[in-house]
Amino acid sequence: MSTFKIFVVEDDRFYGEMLKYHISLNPDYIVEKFENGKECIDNLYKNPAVISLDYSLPDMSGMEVLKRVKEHNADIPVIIVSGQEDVSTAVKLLKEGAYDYFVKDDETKDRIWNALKNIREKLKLEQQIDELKEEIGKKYVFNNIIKGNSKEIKKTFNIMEKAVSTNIMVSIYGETGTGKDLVAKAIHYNSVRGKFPFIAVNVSAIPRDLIESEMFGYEKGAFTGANTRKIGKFEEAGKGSIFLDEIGEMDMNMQAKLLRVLQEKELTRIGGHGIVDVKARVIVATHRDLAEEVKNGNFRQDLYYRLLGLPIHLPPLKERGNDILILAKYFMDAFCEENGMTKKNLSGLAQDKLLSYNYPGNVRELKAIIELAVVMSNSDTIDDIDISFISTNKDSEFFLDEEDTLNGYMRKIIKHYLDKYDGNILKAAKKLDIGKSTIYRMKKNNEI
Amino acid sequence: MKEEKLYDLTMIRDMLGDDDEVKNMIGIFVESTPVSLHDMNEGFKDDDSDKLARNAHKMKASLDMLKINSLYDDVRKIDKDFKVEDIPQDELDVIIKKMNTELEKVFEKLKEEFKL
Repeated sequence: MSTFKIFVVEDDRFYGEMLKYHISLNPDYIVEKFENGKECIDNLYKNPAVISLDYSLPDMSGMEVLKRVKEHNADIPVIIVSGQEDVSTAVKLLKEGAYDYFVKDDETKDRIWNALKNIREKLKLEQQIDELKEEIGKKYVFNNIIKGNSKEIKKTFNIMEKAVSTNIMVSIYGETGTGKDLVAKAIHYNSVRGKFPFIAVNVSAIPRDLIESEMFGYEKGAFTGANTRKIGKFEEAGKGSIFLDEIGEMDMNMQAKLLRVLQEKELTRIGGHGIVDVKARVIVATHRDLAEEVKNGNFRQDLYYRLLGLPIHLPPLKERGNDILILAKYFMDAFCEENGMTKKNLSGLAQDKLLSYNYPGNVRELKAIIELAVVMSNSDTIDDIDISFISTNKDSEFFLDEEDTLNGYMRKIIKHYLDKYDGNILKAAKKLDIGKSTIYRMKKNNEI
Repeated sequence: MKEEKLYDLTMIRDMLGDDDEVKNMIGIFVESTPVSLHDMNEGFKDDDSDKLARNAHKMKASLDMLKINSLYDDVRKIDKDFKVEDIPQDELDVIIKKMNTELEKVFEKLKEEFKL
């Protein structure tokens, strides 16, 4: 922000010139002076940053000029400078959107000077916020956040486009590390709501007793420790988006309350009586199969259908084929740049090794693997020996950690499923699509 | 008894600093204020209280800026919200006459001081 255009509207030529001179002492300020309301209005096309307006003008009242300015551009701050010490007039003008009301006296010039300084600071901050928002928007352009050319990921982009262009509720499904939060942000920042807040709530990270107050807020005195009013995440999101991550972890009691809020599009803070309109778009995500959770009685069916909206299924990395190499290159380059290192390549063997792994931790895991490989590599090329799979996920144990016979693998797999389903042989057999007698036999023979 | 100063330019000098600029601004004052005074007189002559008050109001801030204290109360009596019936005619006559006399003296003295 270099120059800052200010209109001084003042019918007394001497007073107007004095103000103009005083304000112009700041070389960044360009001041134009007008002696009546019409001249000011006729020049609004020049987009002044601030208007200093005398309340009593020969052709129209300050109120009328103020209204016309606000009709032209409600964001222009208008400082009323008046010879009248009339509180009721000042209140009316402030209600109409005047930035401030100063009575002409010895202090006026300093008050105007300070007001201009404050307005300029505020505009600077707003400009910075806009720039940052634009940066964030760019950061969340779809193919900036999700790298890849696979059929699966292109399908995801198509669905995301639909989510951006409408207001529909969005539910994002995907294994841990697939980037559900990034997809939610991308949808938000690319939609018309992008200018408004994006509020993320990790449902699983908030203790059960606190989640209601976090989401809906509370009034002062609502409970012990509620010393002040606090607005909740839904209110904080305003006309933006609220992202409820790990929605599958929400307890049934809270599910009922959330359902009511989503149905009524309004909420009441804890301990309050007033209704607060809910305008935020709701985006939810979970790594669970919510339909299965409904079947198992862990998730309300009515809430499930209310939240379903536009479902986006993020494919696990293992299903994205060559995207693994695209992402690996991206992470490699980014890590080298961040650490001032020369860019590296992947050898053929390293590529094969990366493609053969199943990534239970998905993209997040690949990133960690690549960063470690870059550090371990002693040359410009990352070789297969530089790559270590560091997953702690039990699912990967049987396939990668140790070599084994086919029978050995089978025993491990069956044991894993029995552990997973609390020793329920019928369930494990059904999941593995094998006869239950096979498992009974292996148990009898102490093979598992 | 010490005679009250016609005006005091301390505030103007503080605001402007530069002597040439002070002279320039005083030039604007002695050029524009007589116009408002003339319009105020016309309002008075034509029993147009609105015109009278509007022009008194217009001058008020400038007179304050030059610290023309002798007119501080008078200009406020006939300011914006003034109605003819609010002030007895003889009192109004005195105020208008005083404003003219004092301001003529101010204009003269300023012209002399700044060689305008």
